[in-house]
Parts: sequence; structure tokens; C-alpha cells
Amino acid sequence: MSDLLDPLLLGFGVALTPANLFWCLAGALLGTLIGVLPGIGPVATIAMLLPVTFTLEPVGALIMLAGIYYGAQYGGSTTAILVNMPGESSSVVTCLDGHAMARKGRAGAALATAALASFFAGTVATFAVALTSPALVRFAQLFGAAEYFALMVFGLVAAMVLAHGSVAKAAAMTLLGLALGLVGTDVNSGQRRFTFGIPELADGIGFVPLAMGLFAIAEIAVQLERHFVRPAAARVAGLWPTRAEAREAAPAALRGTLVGAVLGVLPGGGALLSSFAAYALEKKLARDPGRFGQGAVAGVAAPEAANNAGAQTSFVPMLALGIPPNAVMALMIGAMAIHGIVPGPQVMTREPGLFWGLIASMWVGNLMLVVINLPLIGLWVSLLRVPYRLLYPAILVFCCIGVYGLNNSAFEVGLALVFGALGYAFAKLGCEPAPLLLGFILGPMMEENLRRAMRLSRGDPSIFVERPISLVLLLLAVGLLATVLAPSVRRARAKAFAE
Amino acid sequence: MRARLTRVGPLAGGLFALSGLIAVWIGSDYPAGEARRMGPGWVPVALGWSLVVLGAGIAVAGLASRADERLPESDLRPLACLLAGVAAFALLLEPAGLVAAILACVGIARLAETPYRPVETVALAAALAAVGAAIFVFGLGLPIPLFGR
Repeated sequence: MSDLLDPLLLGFGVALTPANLFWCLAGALLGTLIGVLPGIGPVATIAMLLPVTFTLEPVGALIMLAGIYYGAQYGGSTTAILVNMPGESSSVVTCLDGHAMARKGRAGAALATAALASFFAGTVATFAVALTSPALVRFAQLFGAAEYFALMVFGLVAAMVLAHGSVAKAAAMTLLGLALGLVGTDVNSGQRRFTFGIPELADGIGFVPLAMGLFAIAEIAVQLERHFVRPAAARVAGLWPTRAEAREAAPAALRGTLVGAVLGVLPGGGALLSSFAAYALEKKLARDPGRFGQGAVAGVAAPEAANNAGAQTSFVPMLALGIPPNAVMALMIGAMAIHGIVPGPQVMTREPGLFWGLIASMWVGNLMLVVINLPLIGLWVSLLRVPYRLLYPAILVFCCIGVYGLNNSAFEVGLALVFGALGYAFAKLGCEPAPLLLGFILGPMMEENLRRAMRLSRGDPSIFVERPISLVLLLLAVGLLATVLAPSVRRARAKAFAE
Repeated sequence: MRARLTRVGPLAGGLFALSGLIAVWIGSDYPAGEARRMGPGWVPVALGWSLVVLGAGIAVAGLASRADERLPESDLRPLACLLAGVAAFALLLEPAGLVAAILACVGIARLAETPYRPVETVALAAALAAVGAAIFVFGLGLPIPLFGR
């Protein structure tokens, strides 16, 4: 027991210093803010703030960036419930029953349920991260180049299968991402690849301009095209759920937490997928599924618990293996790199203060978020009255400054422009950008490990099936692909995403 | 036939196949090496061919499909204004400084909205320039020129 307790105490010692408490609060507030505002998500915000972290201690920087991610999960539900519009993509399903509750005059109860379910999930997930990360670190000692390559293949396949829409398009987006990741100087031979003679591309395409183009600029363009008129927010009267509501919400929150905690670890998982899966599960388990969409409390508690749990457990592969399962975690790795910390299993032993401090800060941050969200709800609601025509130029300008500030490079701002246009085209063609981003991040690591493994085996590809861990991972990947291509699963998947 | 070619499937598939072809074409110039000692060209070419095959598959499936997935109607004005705003920012920042870059970026990006509100735009641009300078230059000390060199 003290194996878990001692490191956690060390972590709380780090997380509870005044400076780190401040950064935690700053992250949680900022996360709630961008969560409430539709049209800007955690990826763009964290990318924008990377240059800010130059001046911070590494622990403080990571604590703040993490707070933005899980804080956005809290804020997103507020918009979903009160105006029937998801503040974050991970609170799309919360609109269904959350807003239905608000129309019935139970807005306060829905908000309280969402916040308390998220807090419960956050608490459980903090301990899940603390328990599983060290185990995974020990397991990772067995990994060689072949295993890392197989793990990344499995990760990319999982991300394709879990992406919205067509699997073929997701696969193509992944491959395109892998190819984009190769741009720049090859570390083994010094050969410059796909640089078109542009010296700025010798170090490769920057992750921040890519993410900013695909996730911020393209998103604003799509939003502006819709010409939406923001509906009025529902009134909030009385925050507390009735006893019957609480009795229905509690088990749903528990199930949602478990679903989220498991799915968060998967590549391509995280908050978004967790909330969809948890909602589908509740609907399946309910005695009276017809109530869903009419204001069922379980339909608020489960996805809100799941997205918060998923957001937090997605830190596990990033912390323990140095492999990011989603775009936000890739940015966290970028933030570590800025401070000279090489991500991977060695972080836990070399930087125990950072590792455990970050984990402990998640629980502290969740506690702050309940306090921020419930009493201050009026403040967040008034933010929704700011019209989008004032908001989008601000988002655009801060994105530009963020991209420029990272490397003082106007070229990278131009790169963000190119990816903004590309991201818009992808949106029109129904191609999800998330798999591309994941491929882009993993591309160089995959090539490196593939080449290393093949060198070790003297060119014999059977190294990937002779080593047991690698074999199991590859079989899992093949199995996943096979199940998705099977007609019955395909129908079920289409149905699940249609909801 | 022409209507079918502008559906989502063939367009997306074509885009992927084209990117694959570019990767194969350029990647073939790099030494491929052999399996035991892969050169810098091996992975790009392999990826490129996979993209060609997958893209062609998506395009053909889209052409053959009965479901009529037409490209959603697009209004390119907002996108064009946003991109022009970003371009102005990138081009003006180093020669003219942060303040001018922000004013130009906001002024152009606001053209995405009709009707154009000049007074509000000027006020917003000035406010954002002040906030941007306060946070990033004075607050965080990033080495960004305020008024050009």
C-alpha cells in the first residue's frame, strides 16, 4: 500500500505548493472558459499556450496544460445543458438529455449532476492513473524496437476503428499523417525529405502550426459558414437534484467512469469516444430506453463521468510509454520537450516530482472545478452572450501569436494557413482530422523503430511475430480490423455513431 | 458521370491517391536501401503506394455507390477572409511589428461577416492589439517586435 501512498504523498507535496496551486487554478479556469465557448477546444488552446510555458517551471507548465484539458470537460457540459449546443465535442451527447432536463426546468439539477459525476470520475481516474502508470512503466522495460513498432501499429489501427465515419477514410488520413511526419531531415542518413528546397522545412513540419490549422482555423471557417444564431440560455433555478434523480444518476456515473477510464487509455480514445460509448451503454441497460432524449438523468451523469475519466486516463500511455494517444497528449509531450524532458518510461524514475505532482494535481484540479463550476455558473452563462463575431477574430489573433511565438517563425504562421485550407477541405469531404494528427505524431517514431528492428533481425520481418509481445499486439490489431470489416459489427458501429 | 465525379468519395479518394503519387514520385529519388538496412526512401515509397491503393479504393467505392453523397454546399467567403487575415499577419509581423499585424489580421478576418461593422472592427482590433502586446510582449517577454524593426 505504501508503494502507492508514498509517491502520491510526494505528488501532493509538489501539487500543493502555492505556485503549482496557482497554475492548477489557472488551467482549470481557462479550461472551463474554452469549454463553455463553442468553436475553440483544448487542442488549439494548449497549442496557443505552449510559448507561454517557456517561462514556467516544467511541473507548473504541465499542471496548467493538463488542467485545461479536463477543465474543458466540465465547461463543455454547461453549454450543452443550457443552450443545447456542445461547448466541446465530447459533450455532444450531453445535449440530448441535459438540454431536455433544462427545458423541463431541471437545468440546475442537470448541471449539478454533470459536475458531481465529473468530480467522482476525476477522483477515480486519478487513482487509476496512479496505479496503472507504474505497472505499465515496469512492463515497458520488456519493450524493444519490434514491440514499440507493433504497439504503434495497434494504436493507429485502434484510432482508425474508433474514429467517426468511414474506416477507409480514417485509414487514409492516418497514412497521410504518417507521410507528413516524414517531412524533414532523416535522422539516420541526414537526407532531407519532401522539403521542396525550403530550408525552414529541414526540421520537419511543426506540430503546432499543423494542429492550429486543422483544429482552429478550419473550425472557425466551418462555424462562420453556418451563420448560426445563438439560442437563449435556459434559466437556472435550484441546483440540487431530487432524491430520485440522485438514485438514478449514481450508478450511471459509476458505469460511465469505468467505461471512460478504460477507453481513455486507447489510442484515438480520450474524452470524445468515452462519452459516446457511455451514453450508448446506459441506453442499452435502461429498463425504459424511451426516456433517453426526454431528460433522463442517467443520460447526463454517464457521459459526463466518462469524458472526464477518459480525459485523465489518456495520460497513462503518455506518461508511462511516452506515446501520445491523442492530440492533447502529443502537445503535452511537446511541452516536456521544450523543457528538455525526454518522454518515455524513464520519466517516472528520473523526474518523480513531475510525474507524481502532475497526477496529484489532477485531483486537486477536479476539486477546484466543482467549486468553480457550481457557484459561478452565472458568470459562465453570461460569457455565452458574447457574440461569435467578436470572439473569432480574438481566437484567430491569439492562434497567430501562439504559432509565431513558439519558434519566432513567420514561416510557421504561413504553414498554419496551408493546413487551415486543407482542414477545411477535409471537413467538406467528411474526413476526421484526428487520425491524421495521430499518424503525424507517431510517424517518425514508427519509422525509427521499424528500421531499428529490421537492422537487429538482419532484414528478416519475422522478428515481429517471433517476439511474443509484438505478436500479441499485431494480432490484436488484425483482430480489430477484422471485426470492423465484418458486416454485423459495421451496422452496429454505424448505429452507435448515428446516436 | 460528371456529377458522380464531384461526389465526396471520388474527391476524397482522388486527394489521397494524388498525395500518395507525390510521395512515391519524390520518395523514389531517395536511396531505398534494403530490408536489413533501410535507406531514407524505403518508408516514404511504401507509404506512398499504400495511399495510392487506398485512395483509388475509396474513389472507386464512391463512384460505384448508389448513395448520392454530394459535396455539401460551400460558401468560401469566410475561409478566404480568414486565410487572408492570417497571411497578412505572417507578412506584416516582422517588417511592421505586432500591432500592425494584429490590426490588419482583424480588419481582414472581419470581412467574413456581413454586414461589415467598421466601428466595431476598429475597436476590436485596437483592443486585441493592446491585450496581445500586454500578455505576450510585456507579460511573457516574448521577443516579438511591437512596431517593426
